[in-house]
Amino acid sequence: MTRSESLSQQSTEAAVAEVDGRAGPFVSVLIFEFGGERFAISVEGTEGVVDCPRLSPLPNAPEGLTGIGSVRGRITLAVSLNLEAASTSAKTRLILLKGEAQLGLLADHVEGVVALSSKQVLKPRPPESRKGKPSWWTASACFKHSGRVVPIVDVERLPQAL
Amino acid sequence: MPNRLPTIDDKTLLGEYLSESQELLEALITDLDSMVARPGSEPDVNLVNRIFRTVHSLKGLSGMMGLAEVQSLAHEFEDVLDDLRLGRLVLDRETRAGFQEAGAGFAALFGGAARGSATEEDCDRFRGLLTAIAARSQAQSKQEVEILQSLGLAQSEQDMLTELETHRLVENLKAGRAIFALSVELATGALDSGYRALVSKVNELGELISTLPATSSTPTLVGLRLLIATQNKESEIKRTLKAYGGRLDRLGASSWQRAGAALKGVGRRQSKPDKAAAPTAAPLSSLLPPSFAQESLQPLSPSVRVELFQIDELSGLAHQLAIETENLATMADRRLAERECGARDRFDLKFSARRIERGFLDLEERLVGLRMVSLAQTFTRAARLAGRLARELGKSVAVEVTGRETQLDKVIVDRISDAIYHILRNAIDHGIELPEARRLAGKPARGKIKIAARLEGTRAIISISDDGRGIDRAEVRRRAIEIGAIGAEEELTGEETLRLIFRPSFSTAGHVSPISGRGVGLDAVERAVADLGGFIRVFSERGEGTRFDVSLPTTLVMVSAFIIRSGGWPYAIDVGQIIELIYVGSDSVLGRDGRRSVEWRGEPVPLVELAYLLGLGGARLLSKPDRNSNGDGGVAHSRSRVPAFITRAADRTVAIAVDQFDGQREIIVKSLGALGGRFKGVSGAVDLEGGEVALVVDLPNLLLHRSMRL
Repeated sequence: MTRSESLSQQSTEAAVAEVDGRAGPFVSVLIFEFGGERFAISVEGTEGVVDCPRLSPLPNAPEGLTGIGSVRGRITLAVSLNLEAASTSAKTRLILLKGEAQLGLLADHVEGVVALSSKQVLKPRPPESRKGKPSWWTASACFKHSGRVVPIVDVERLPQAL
Repeated sequence: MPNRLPTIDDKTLLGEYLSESQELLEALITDLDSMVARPGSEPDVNLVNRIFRTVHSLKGLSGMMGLAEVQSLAHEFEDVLDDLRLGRLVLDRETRAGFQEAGAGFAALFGGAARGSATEEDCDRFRGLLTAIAARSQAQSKQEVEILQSLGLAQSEQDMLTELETHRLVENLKAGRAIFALSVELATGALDSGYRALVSKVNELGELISTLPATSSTPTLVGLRLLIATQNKESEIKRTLKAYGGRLDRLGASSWQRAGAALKGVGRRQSKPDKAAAPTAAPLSSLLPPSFAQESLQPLSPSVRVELFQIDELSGLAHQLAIETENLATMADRRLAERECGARDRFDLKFSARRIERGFLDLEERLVGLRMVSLAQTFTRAARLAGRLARELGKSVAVEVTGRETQLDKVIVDRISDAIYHILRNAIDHGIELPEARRLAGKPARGKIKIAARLEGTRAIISISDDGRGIDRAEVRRRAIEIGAIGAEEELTGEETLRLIFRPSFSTAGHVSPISGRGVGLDAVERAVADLGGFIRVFSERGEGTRFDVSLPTTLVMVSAFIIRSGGWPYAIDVGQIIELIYVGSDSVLGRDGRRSVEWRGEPVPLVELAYLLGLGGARLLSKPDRNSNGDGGVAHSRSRVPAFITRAADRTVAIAVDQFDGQREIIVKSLGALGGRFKGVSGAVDLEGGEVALVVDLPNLLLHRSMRL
C-alpha cells in the first residue's frame, strides 16, 4: 500500500484486487482511518492528500471544525469526522475536498483507493445503529471492507452539516 | 465616401488601451512642445529619445487596438524622429512648426481612429505632413556627405561607418574639433588587452569615433585605424600615444577650408531655406486644418486615474460605516423594546437599518470592483514572448490565448505576470521539442501553447499548457532523490512526484539554457503564487504535454497589520483599528475577574483578554508574572507588565490584553472560503513563516458580537 494516494487521476491499482469479476458501473472511494474509525469518500470529491499542516484554532467554530491551516498557500479548514479523536489523534494527513468551502478531512492514515461495483454499495446504516454519539455528518452509502462496514461520507453536504 | 477605420468591440479592453494612449499622447505633445521651444538647431538628444519611445509605445498600442493605419503612420513618425536623432534633420523654424503640428495631428488621428471617426483622408493628410518634414532631411544628408568627403576617407572606409559614427564625425567638426586617424599594429596574441589600453588612452584625449580594420605589415600583427575627434594639439596626441607607435594623420587638413565652408552653409540654411530642399512650397503648418488639431484636446477616455490606496481608504470607510450601522440598529432596537413601541415602528426601523447596511455592503463591493483589471495586456505580452522565445530556440509554436477579458485585482495581475512568463519559458524551452523531434514522435512540427484564463467562483484559473514532451516522472524522481528531497524508498503517487519540481534547487534540464536556466526555479513561482493567496497544480503525461493551473483569488485585500499572540496563537489586527499599544503593570489593574479595567488617559477603560473575546480562554491571573517576561518568581509584581492595545469600537474604548507583540507588516488577507462569513469577528487568515496561520481579527465586529457586557 502506498503511503498516500493521488486522487485526481488513475491511481486505482490498489483497487483492482478488490473488485470482483462481475461487470457493472464502479465508484472509486478513498478509504482512510481517523481516531480508530474507518471512513470512505468518493474520489471525485477530493483534490489530493497532503501532510496535515500546523492548525490554528478557529474561534466560535462548529464542533466539526478542528482548526485552520495553510496548504500550498490556500487556507484550509480542517474537519474532524470523529469528534473524540479531534483532540487526541495525531492528525497526520489532510484530505483536501473540492468546493468553495475549502475543507480538508483529518486522517491518521490513508489506506488507499477502492473501486466498488454498484452491487457492493449498500444503503447507509441509520446513525442510531452506530455505537457512541450519533455523527454530525451524513453518509450517502456504505460498503463492507475487510469484514467491517465502512460509511461513505456525503462530502457535498458537509458544509451545511457543519 | 470616406473609408472608416476599423473599431474594436471589447469595451473594457478599449477603455484600458485608451486611457494608456491618452497619457502617452499628452506626454508626446508636451515633449514635442518643449523640444520645439528650446533654442538652437540641435534638439536635446534625451528628449528626442523619449519622444521616440513614446511614439513607439503608441505604435504598439495602436497595433493591439487593431488600428493598422495608425500603426503604420506611427512607424513613419518614428522614421522622421530617427532622422532628427541622427542629425539628418535640423530644427529650423519650418521643421519646428512641422513637429508641433505632427504631435497634435497624431493625437487627433489616434483619437479619431479609436472612436471610429477617422477617415482615409485624415491619414493621408498626416502622412503628407510627415513626408514634408522628412523631405527636409535629405539636403542635410547631402551636407554630411560633403563634409565626409572633405575628410579624405577612402570610399571603403566611408561605407564601413555607421550612421551614428558619421553623425558624430560631422558633429565634432561642427564643434570645431579636429579628426585624426591613428594607424597602429597590435600583436595578435595581446590584441584584446592592447586594444583596451589604447582605447582608454584615446578617451583621455577625446572621443573615439570608430575603429576600422587596416592592413598590417606581418601576419602576426593586426592593423587598426582609429578615428579620433579631439581638441588637443597634434604634438600632445603624439606624446600620449607614443608607446603605441604607428602613424597619426590629421584628416581633412588640406581641405579644411572646404569643410569649413560647407559647415557655414549648414548655418545659413537655417535662416534661408533652400527651395530644392523643401519640395512642398506650402508651410508645413498649413497642411492640417485647425479643427483637426483642436480635436486632439478632447479626452480620449471618459475616465480618471485613481491611486489604489485611495480606493482602499474608501473601502475601509464603507466597511466601518456598515459595522456602525449594524451597531446602531441593535441599540435602537433595544431602546424601542424598552419603551414598548409599536410593532410598526420596530419594523420600519429594522427595514431601514437593513437597507443602509446593504447599501454599504454594495458600496464596498463596487469599490473592490474598481481595483479590477483584465489580463489582456499580460496575455498579449505573454503570447509575444512565446513567439520570440520559440524563434530564438529554433522551435515553431502556435500560441492560442483565451480568457484575456478575465478580471482580477490590479495587484494580483501585476505580481503574477512574472510567474506566468516563467512557466511559459519552461514550456517552450523544456516542453516543446524541436520540429524534427516532433515529426519523429508523430506530432505536427509546430508546437501548441495555450494560455487561458477562466473564473471559478471567486477564483480565477490561469492555465498554461503545451503539447510538448511532458515531464518524465522517473527522471524527476531520480533527481529528487539525488538532491535529497525524498528518500530512495519513498513511494509517491503521480501528482506527488510531479510536485517535486517545485522543490528548491530542482532542475531536470540536463543543460543550462540561456532562456530557462537562470537559477530562478519553480519554487520561486510557487511562492509568488502562494503569497497572493493562490496555488499551482501541474498535470503532465509523457509525450503528450504539460499543463500548469494557477489558481488565484480575483480580489485582494491588503492591509497593514499588527501581529500579536494570545493564548499562544498568532493573530493579525489591522493597524487602523489600534489606537495605542500599552504595557499594563499588574498593580494598575482595577477590579477583578470579568470586570477588570485599567486607567488610560485619565479614564478607566475595560481590560479584556483577546483569547477570552475569541472564546479560546479565560482571564489570566495578572498578579502573577507574565510568562513572557523573565520574571523571577512572585516578588516582582509591579515589574510583570502585560502587553495590551487600546481600540475603539461601538463608541467605547477597550484595552485588549495579549501575550506579546510580534511587530507590524503588510499582509494579504486570505479568504476562509464559503463558510468564512460564519466566524464573526474573523475576516480572514494570513500565512506566517514556519507554516503558521494567523487569523485576521476584525475588532469592531468581534466586540460587537462578544462584548456588550463589558
